[in-house]
Amino acid sequence: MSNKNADILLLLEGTYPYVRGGVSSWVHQIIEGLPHYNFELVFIGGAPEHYGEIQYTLPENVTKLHVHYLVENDTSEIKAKHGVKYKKELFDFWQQLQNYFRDCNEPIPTELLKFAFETLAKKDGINEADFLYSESSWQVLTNYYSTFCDESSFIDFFWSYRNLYKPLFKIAEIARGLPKVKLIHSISTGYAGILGSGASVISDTPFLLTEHGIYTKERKIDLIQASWIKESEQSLGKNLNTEMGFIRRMWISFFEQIGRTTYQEADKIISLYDGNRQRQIKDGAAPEKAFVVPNGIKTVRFIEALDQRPKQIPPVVGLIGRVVPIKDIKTFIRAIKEAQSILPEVEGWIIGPYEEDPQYYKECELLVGSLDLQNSVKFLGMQDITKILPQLGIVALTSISEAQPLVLLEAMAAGVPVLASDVGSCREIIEGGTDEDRALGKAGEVVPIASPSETAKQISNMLTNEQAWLEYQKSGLDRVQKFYDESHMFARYDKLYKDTIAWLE
Amino acid sequence: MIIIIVAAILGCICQYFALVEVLETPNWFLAILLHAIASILFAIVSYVFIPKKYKTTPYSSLLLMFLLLFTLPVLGIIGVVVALTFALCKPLKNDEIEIEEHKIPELPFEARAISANPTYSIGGLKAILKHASEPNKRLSAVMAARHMSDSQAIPILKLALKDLEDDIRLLAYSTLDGKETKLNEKISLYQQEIAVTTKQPKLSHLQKQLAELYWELSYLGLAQGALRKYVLEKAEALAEQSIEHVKTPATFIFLGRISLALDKYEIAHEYLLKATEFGMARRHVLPYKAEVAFCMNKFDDCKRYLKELPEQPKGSELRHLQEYWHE
Repeated sequence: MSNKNADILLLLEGTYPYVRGGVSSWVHQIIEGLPHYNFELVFIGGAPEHYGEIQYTLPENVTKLHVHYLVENDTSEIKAKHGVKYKKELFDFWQQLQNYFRDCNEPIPTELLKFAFETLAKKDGINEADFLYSESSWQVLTNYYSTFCDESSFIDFFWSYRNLYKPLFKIAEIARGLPKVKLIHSISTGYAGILGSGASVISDTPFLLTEHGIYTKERKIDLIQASWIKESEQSLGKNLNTEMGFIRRMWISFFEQIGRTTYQEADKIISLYDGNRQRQIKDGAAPEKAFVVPNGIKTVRFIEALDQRPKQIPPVVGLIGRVVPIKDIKTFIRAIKEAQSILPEVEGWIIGPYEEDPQYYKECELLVGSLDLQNSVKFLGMQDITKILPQLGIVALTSISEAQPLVLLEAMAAGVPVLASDVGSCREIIEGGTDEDRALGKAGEVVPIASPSETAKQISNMLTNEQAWLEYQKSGLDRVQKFYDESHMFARYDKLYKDTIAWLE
Repeated sequence: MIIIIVAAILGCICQYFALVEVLETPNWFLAILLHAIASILFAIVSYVFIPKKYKTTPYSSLLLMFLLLFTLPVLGIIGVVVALTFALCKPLKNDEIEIEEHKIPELPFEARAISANPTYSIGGLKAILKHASEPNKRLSAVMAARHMSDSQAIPILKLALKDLEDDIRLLAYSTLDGKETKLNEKISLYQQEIAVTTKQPKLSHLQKQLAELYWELSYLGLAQGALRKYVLEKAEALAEQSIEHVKTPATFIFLGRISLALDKYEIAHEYLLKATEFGMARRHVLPYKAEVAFCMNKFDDCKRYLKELPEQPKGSELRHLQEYWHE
């Protein structure tokens, strides 16, 4: 790492350089692909024990890496001063801020956001001890509970309230300690997004947001499903209550608000395909700020893989991705089982790390066991993709949610036809987005999500029809070279960075 | 304790000499002094014995005791009665305890009405998923399915998997996945237990329970196509292993249902006959026999079995069938 001042500050939540995956690969690619910029990285994680060693060799144009964890054991013994009127004015402002988190229809006004980031976690502002122990804070909390909470117990509310707002103090502190740079670039909304927004308003630095998936949407689904949030209705018998509990709504509203505020504060908002751009606009992004920049890959990296392909189509279907629920590995396993009734020799290889969600990995193993697939479904862990691709007949992706999966592009560049569920931009990648693109033909097949039967049917069709397979291969190669080479993406980001920085100057 | 005894003895001596002084040639000063000393000593003794809750203000308590004892010879019984009555009727106000009265606040919201009857029927939820243009409505329908039984919820969740909105698909998927994961976990536990069990009839019972879990995967619609066939065959094999050692009529019915689902009608019929042979009441077997007969195009038999079946409650599915096949 050099000692130069960075041009761009990248804000990374739970991803690069500690966690491998599509987003991390993209970050690494962008840093390496734009060597004329210096990057400083800010990694925000949950608890330190959730992350291991750094997974990437940081490129030379990374000047510094800051690591912060939001959930740390607080050993602070500081107590707030007692007295109802202690810092009352500041807590009036805290109340206002909180109203925006409770009712998330409007983003937090810039002035209020600025005040928050200048005040929170400061000794003479509202520090964590004031928030946790002061009587003024207690009054705000009890007022909130008695005015708005219509069903949850106070104890549930109390702890949810604390857990919900506590990270804001840490984020405000991080924001004030960030170095002076030319541009702040966050790779998601969420905590990284609100950090970017706050840092941008207090330092008057341009702020760029790139969203690979839609953070708010994913959090919302997690929260709807979360079993750690207690809900009184569940004990009320078989009534088909369609409402969410108060605490659950409170959490969702919090993340919706930080998403909305990030959209408001970002100077430019980038998504990977138009579907996500529309979603961002629906969630509060101004249409004139929202752009699409598709991902690209280094196509030359796969030339050797293409040359190494055997003449026969290997009866092997590969799923390249992390073993996590969102990739729906179970549908892939079931599809292999079904495909075996037509093609008994077919094998399924799952290529990717499985440490991220050990419970899910165990469930997948159980499924393989219960379907007697131990000999034909293999978990290969992390592999050199250029070496594995020539051994595959099809690359399949059964995800239930994706933005623009790089693995499909990589498979196409290595001459492997692809099969993917109809999510994100998979259809656009496989069948083409524009008329010119569609004219190149299909690079594989699209199937409905969570549909093992349809996936199995397409697997056997693709592996048994050599002519069609060769056509898919050709279309894939043409498409990826013409539309998805990384040089296009680098050029777009270079321009975005230049324009945003120049605009400020 | 010794101090108390000494104080009491000294008090008695003082009181004795005070009385002697009054009775003989009275020296009033000495008599009053001795009486005062005795009163102080007895005030201390009685202070030690009074309950703790009255000792919160030691000086006041001691003073009260002293005054009562000191004035007793002058004011006598009447004085004590008046003093106590007055004290109990007019207690001193304790200004140190602050009591603020608050009115019960008005609630800013109304409690949510929770009806005992479901807001939506299953058909209604499906209609919402198919036709409602507002995504939040469709999301609510999926959320409502979370409170339904698995057999009712799964068709709704499967329908929601086809929704165009990501949120709805993801919610439906994760709900379905949760249900399936629970079954797969149980399957794994039974498999492990079977692997280490050799004794009968325990092994037989475990095989039957594992067979039921595989059946559940098919019955709930969580396994379809070739996978459904696979889980049904697994259930069949396990149930067959189970009846080799423990022959229960319920297992024969279960095998009959599996064979029916696998389109093995002749075998299903035989299992159902065996269930009756082994003591299962005919009324439990007849609906399945009717179904087998129908699948084998033996419509007269189907009609006969349904006629033989006792009249079913109004509105039930079997009652509809009985009415349909009634001559």
